[in-house]
Formats: sequence, structure tokens, C-alpha cells
Amino acid sequence: MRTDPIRLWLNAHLGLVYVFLYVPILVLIVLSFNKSGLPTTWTGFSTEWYGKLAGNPKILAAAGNSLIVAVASTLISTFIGTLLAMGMEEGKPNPYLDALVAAPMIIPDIVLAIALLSFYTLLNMSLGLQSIVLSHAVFNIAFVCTVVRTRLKNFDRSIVEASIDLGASEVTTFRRVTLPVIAPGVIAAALLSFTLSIDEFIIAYFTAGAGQGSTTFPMQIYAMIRFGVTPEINAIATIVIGFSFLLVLLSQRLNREAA
Amino acid sequence: MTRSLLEIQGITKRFGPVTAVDKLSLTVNDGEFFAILGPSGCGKTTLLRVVAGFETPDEGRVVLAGADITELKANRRPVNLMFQSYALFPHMSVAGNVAYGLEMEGVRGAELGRRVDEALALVRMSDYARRKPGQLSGGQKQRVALARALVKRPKVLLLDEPLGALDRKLREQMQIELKKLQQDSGIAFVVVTHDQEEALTLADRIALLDRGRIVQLDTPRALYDRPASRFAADFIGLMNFVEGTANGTGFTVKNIGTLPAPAGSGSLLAIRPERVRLSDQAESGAIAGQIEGAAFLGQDVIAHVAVPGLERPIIARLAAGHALAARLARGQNVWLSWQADQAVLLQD
Repeated sequence: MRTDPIRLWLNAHLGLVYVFLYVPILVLIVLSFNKSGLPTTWTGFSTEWYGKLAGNPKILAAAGNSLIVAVASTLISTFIGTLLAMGMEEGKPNPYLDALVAAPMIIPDIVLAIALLSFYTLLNMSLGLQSIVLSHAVFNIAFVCTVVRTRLKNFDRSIVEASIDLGASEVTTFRRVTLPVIAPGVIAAALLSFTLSIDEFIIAYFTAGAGQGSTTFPMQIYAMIRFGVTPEINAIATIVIGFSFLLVLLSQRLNREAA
Repeated sequence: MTRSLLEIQGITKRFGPVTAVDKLSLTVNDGEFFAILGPSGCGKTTLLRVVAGFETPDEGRVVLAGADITELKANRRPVNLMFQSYALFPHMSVAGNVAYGLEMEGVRGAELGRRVDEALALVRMSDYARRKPGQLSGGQKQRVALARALVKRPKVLLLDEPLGALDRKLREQMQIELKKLQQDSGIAFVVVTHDQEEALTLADRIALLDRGRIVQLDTPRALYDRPASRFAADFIGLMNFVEGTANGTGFTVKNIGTLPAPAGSGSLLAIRPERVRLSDQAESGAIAGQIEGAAFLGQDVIAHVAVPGLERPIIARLAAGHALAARLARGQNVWLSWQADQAVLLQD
């Protein structure tokens, strides 16, 4: 059997890229199971750090807050973003309008964070979880709209007319034809929003206000890390990585089914 | 007895500065297979969409079985449209697609199942009831689209280029099936097509459209044999045109003489290639010419004959079994003739 040298090099390159990407993460996962509290010595396998996590009310509260923020902002942005995408696909193509919708994805988070904080202060709005939810919805709407629009580009408009021709109302047509057909795109968009929201730090940090009650998960980790990387943090990170992988797999699967 | 079913009365539809349909009127009879034929952009699809309720006309009325349906919304009209792309719901099974329209009428349970089964049996798709549209071939998709529309028992079934997406062989087969289905169901079919062959084979009557107006409304036979204008003669089939003057008993052409023509007036003589008789012997009254080229088409042979004094060659169509067909050579001298009553005089 003859081995193609170019093939060989390409595979080696691919291997190195994966090593570069995943070795640090692997180290982190391994350390989260280290009995010793020090990152330099391995003293045996243990799950005690995971146990400690479960008993830490601050971390649990922060995780709860992040879930609330992510779910709420995902619901809002999926609803508004999907309708926005449908409206934009229906109307005349307008590159300026497209750019305006995409802008929140591109504007640096720090700028968006300052802008939102100034805006809330101007409105005299009380800061807390609700302001984080709104802020996350702002950039998530842009992502949802973009993802759903790619799905709508391949959408055959004549099936909507066919449904009406067969006696369905506009509402029934949306519920039984349009929505099921674009559903994989909408769900993929929702998963993306959720992922973006749950680990978002800068905007949440700026718009959370002073109260302790609105600390999100990334904010809590940031607070902890100021006293050094503890195995507890490694354990949290490992859980988050597992969770993210699950979400990515799910959205990949949905996209494949949609294609 | 023929009874008028669908009356299109003076419909005008404009899109900005473009008048797609221009004060068009026509009547479709009960149980009739009616074709709206014309080149792309002639307004035929717009007219169909006006009848289906997807376009609101600027002027005119649409009357169905005596009732004015001009203001009726598309989902309330007892009319169904079979889309050019078939527009099957990709997320529903074949049976789900067919059931959809009945569910909208409130048909449920055993009655729903029975009527869906009937409709699928009618188009011979019963074995595919559980498949998704993505798993079907073009011809199968078309059958499902037909079943989905027919199951609603519409008063009129509108079909937008029904065979356009199929390859030639399948198209011929579906033409026959479509015709049979129309006759068996007794539902009036209105088909829109740019394919003259399709219109000729399928329809009882054809409305030929050009720039939003009806050019001629006739049976296929009459449209083919007795076109009323150069446009009609040119659009349908192959036609030879010779310019000159009708003189009551013949047709005078400069530099050539008198050609056989029916009585009447006109400045254009039209003759179908299959009506042209070709001979390699000089005959009295025949026009002398030379073979410019010949093409073998299977069942017949098309010969281009250059005639001195005429700008364009005369085209003759011979059956492949014709004595001359096998030995037509370029440059060969031939003589052309036709019966006077088989030519058509046109004003132009």
C-alpha cells in the first residue's frame, strides 16, 4: 500500500491543531479530579471538588442566575429574532438594514456594555437580572435573525400559498407549515443564544448593578479566580465544558437534519 | 349540454407600469379541459393567480358557478391550484399532504382516511402514503400534488405548467394520465402552459395569449389548421410564410407567379410543412426549388427547399416511409405543391 506524503503531512497538521486546541482543556479536566489542591502534584483520583461545589451556595446561586438569564434572553431573542428574520426575507433586500441588524454581533462587547449601562442609567432603570436579560437579548436577536434567515433563504414560498389554497388561514399556515419547516433553524438559533448568554461576562458585569443577588456564573468564577485557580474552579469548568459539548452536538445534529 | 362554469370578465392586472393582463374575458365550461397558452410574460400565470385568489385584479370580475368570487379570499374559494414546483409540504408524509386540505374543511376520522386513500389510489400512489416528498421522483411528486388538489373536489382545478418539470418521456405519459384523470373526475381543468404541444394534446379548447390579451380562442384542431393571425400561426407548430397578394383564386408572389390558395383576401400565405407535397418530377403548377438540407427526425424527414425569388426556404415534412425521403440530396431539384384549401390566408 502506498501512502500519499501530502496526505500524511495534512493529517499530522490536523493532529497538531487538535493538540493545540485541546491539551489545555484536557489538563484542566484532569486537574479537576486531583486529590491534591495544588496544580503541580498529582496525589490521586478524587471527586471531592465536585462535592464541594455542590455545597457552595454562592456558586449554586450564580449558576441559577445564569440559567434564568440564558433561558429568558433566549426566549425573547428567539421570538423577536425569528419574526425579524421573516419580515426581512419578505421585504425588499436592503444591505443597510442588514448591516444594522448584524451590528450588535460585531460591536465589541465592552462598547455595547458601556452603551447599555448609560442607556439604563438614562432611563433610571433599576439594574439586576432583568437588565442583564435585556442586554443579552440585544445581541442574541442579531444572532437568531442571522441563523433563521439562512434557513429562510431555502424556504419555498409556494408552500405557504399552497396551504392557503387548500383552505388554511394565515395563522394555521404559520403554525402547521412555516414554523415546522423552519423549526430546525429556529432551534439551532435558540441553542446558539443560550450558549452565548450563559458564558457572557463583560455585558453582564456592567449591567448587573451593585446587588449581590444578580451575580451570574461567569461573574462568580471571576470573583473566585482573584484568589488563584482552585481545583473547585477546574471542576466548574469541566462541568461547563461537558454541557457546551452537548449543546454543540445537539445543534450540529439539528443542522444536519435540516440540510 | 355545455354550461358555463368559470367566467372571467374584463380582467385587468397591472404591476407598476406593466399591464400583465389587459381587459381579458373568457368562459370555461363545466367539465372542460381548458388551456391558456402563450409565451413567457404573456400574463397567463397572472391570470391563473387572479382566479386562484393570489392576485387582486385592478378591473373586472371573476364569476364561478354564478357567484362573484372576485372579493373572496384564496382560502375560501372552491378552486384549487397545482403549483409548478408542486409545493408539497416537505415535513409531512404523502398522506399528510393529501389530508391537509380536508382537515381544513373539518373532515375527521374514518371519513378523512377513506378520502385520502381514494385520492391516492386515483393517482396510483397508495404504496407511497408514508413517504416524505423528499423521497419521491418528479413524476410521483406531481401525482401527489394532483391528489392533494383533487381530494378537495374543487369546482375548477388550476394547473400551472403541470408538466414543465418532467423529462420528455415522463411528460408524454403524464399527459395521457392527466387527460384521463380529468375525464374520470369530471372536474374542469384550467392548465397554463407555454408548451403548444401540451396544450394541443390535453385541451378541449385553447386560449392563446400574447401581451395580456387573447389572440385566438379555439379548439386545438382549429387553432392548428385555421390560425387567425401570424402570431398564432407562428407560435403553434412549424409554419411556412410567403408574402404576396391574394387574387381571389390564388396567391400572387413577385418573381414566382401564382401559388395555390383558398378564396379570400390577405397579404400573407401560411402553409404547414406536412401539407407541402414534394416531388422529384416537374409538375404543372408546382414551384421549382432545390434541396438545401434535410434532417431525419425518426418518424419523418424535414426538408428545407430553397426557392429562387423567396427569402426563406420552404420547409416540407415527409413521412419517413415516403419514396423520396431516403434519397433527398443537397442541391437536388424538386417541385413543391399543395392543395389550395390547406393553405391559410392571413392579414399582415
